[in-house]
Amino acid sequence: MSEIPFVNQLGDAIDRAVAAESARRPLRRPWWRRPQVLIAVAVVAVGCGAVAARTVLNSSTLAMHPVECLSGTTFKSQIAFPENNGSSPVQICASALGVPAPRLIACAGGRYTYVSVFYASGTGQCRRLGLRPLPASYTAAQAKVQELARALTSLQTSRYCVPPATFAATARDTLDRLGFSGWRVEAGSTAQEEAHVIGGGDCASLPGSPLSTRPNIMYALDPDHRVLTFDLGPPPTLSRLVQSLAASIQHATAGRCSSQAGLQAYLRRRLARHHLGAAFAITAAPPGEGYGDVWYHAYQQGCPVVGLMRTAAGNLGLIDVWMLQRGEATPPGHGLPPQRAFH
Amino acid sequence: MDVGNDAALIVASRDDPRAFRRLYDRHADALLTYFYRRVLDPEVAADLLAETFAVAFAKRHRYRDRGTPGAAWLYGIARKELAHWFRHQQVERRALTKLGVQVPPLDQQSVERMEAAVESDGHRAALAAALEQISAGERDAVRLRVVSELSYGQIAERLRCSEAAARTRVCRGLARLSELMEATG
Repeated sequence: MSEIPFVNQLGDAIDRAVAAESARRPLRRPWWRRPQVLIAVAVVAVGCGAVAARTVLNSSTLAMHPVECLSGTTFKSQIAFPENNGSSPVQICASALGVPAPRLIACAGGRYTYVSVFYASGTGQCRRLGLRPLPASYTAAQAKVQELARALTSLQTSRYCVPPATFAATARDTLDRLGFSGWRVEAGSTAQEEAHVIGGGDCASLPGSPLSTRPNIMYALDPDHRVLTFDLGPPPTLSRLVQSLAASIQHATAGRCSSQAGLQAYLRRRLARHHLGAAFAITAAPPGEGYGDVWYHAYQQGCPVVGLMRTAAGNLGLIDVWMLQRGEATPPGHGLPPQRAFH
Repeated sequence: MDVGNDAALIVASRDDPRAFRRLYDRHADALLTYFYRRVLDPEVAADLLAETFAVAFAKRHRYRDRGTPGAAWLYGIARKELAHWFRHQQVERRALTKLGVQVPPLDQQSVERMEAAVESDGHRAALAAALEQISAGERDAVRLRVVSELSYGQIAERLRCSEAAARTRVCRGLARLSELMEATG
């Protein structure tokens, strides 16, 4: 919370407007189940305390959320979001923070609806923070979530491409067996929305970090709406290869200025090593894009750069490469060029 | 300043409003002070803060997490809003209107705390030094606008110039002050 009343009032006003806006849009995957959140084992300063615990502490719901580790006794401490790997929250945070487990305490509730682990500072600490002690039933609930994860991960890693119907049937059977009643299994709207970025494909997979070798069940479960969401896209191994190549190529080319033809030849060579072809589209960067990206400086100097690489729709052996250069036409709609622009 | 978590919060806010609020909570105070230091008008600073976060919310889908500080992206938006204000002497409210945010009125306690925040970082001394470095015409215009809170018409009358010229002097003076303050950190 800010000490400036206006800042808190404006935050609440934005909250209300954002909530109203979200209500007008279809459900998407909750933020903490997005890959970028859990891979960020980041240490940050949080300037805001917790508000009174108003969330019902349902163990199943808590077990489907990430664990938050704070390197102090309050919310004003540094914070980290390690992966919820099935260990106890205190153990997870002991590893992430590098401190002995007995020095930590796990609480739950509050505004952000997940388990928060603090340095212990005496009895009543959770209550003083507006939270409650972690329910005893949390461990059993966490074990069930991990079992669901194992079933789906093992299906996914057993095949290059899992058909959506097979994935959905396995997910439904496992949910039923573990007593998760009333859950739906769906291909994620996020997957469709992101198809333009990661590329087309009909392989089902648990959502996960693009560069991670492991999927993560936390990104798939939405306990608020009882929905298990899976992604549809290229085979996960191909996605990871393309994204890893894209990151490597962007870094390699960000510091050198070549011609469009030279850059295209380089890209063709790099992709050919993996038996992949390339299709190119060249535009200017959309207004406001690129600030902070590795290619931004080179782009500003007028050099052609690689904005994005993805698997081409309908051809898993072809990679769409979006090249950016100042002076080229701005893409229509200020977004990615349409599929037909890649050749 | 953390790198990964701001970026994660921006990406996460595409799907859950709680993440956007968390991003707001982390940066609102500092951004408000950032604006206040540059425009010297609490109302304008408050409006710039509101529009900056409305723009950030509207553009959050276009942010790409490539390991660069998410805060840099947020401050990039802030700089653009500030530049717009310096050019037009008017806060762009398009994103606020589109999102439907009702900006709360700025109360006296908030103004006092903003001033205290700015005082505490040695801003006053730096501002006094910077004021000495801009032209006398711009300095007078800025003082009449910021300290005396006169309208541009009244400033024009005092300085015996057109209203457009008064507006330009205030704008240039504030922009120059902003540059000088930026240079001194």
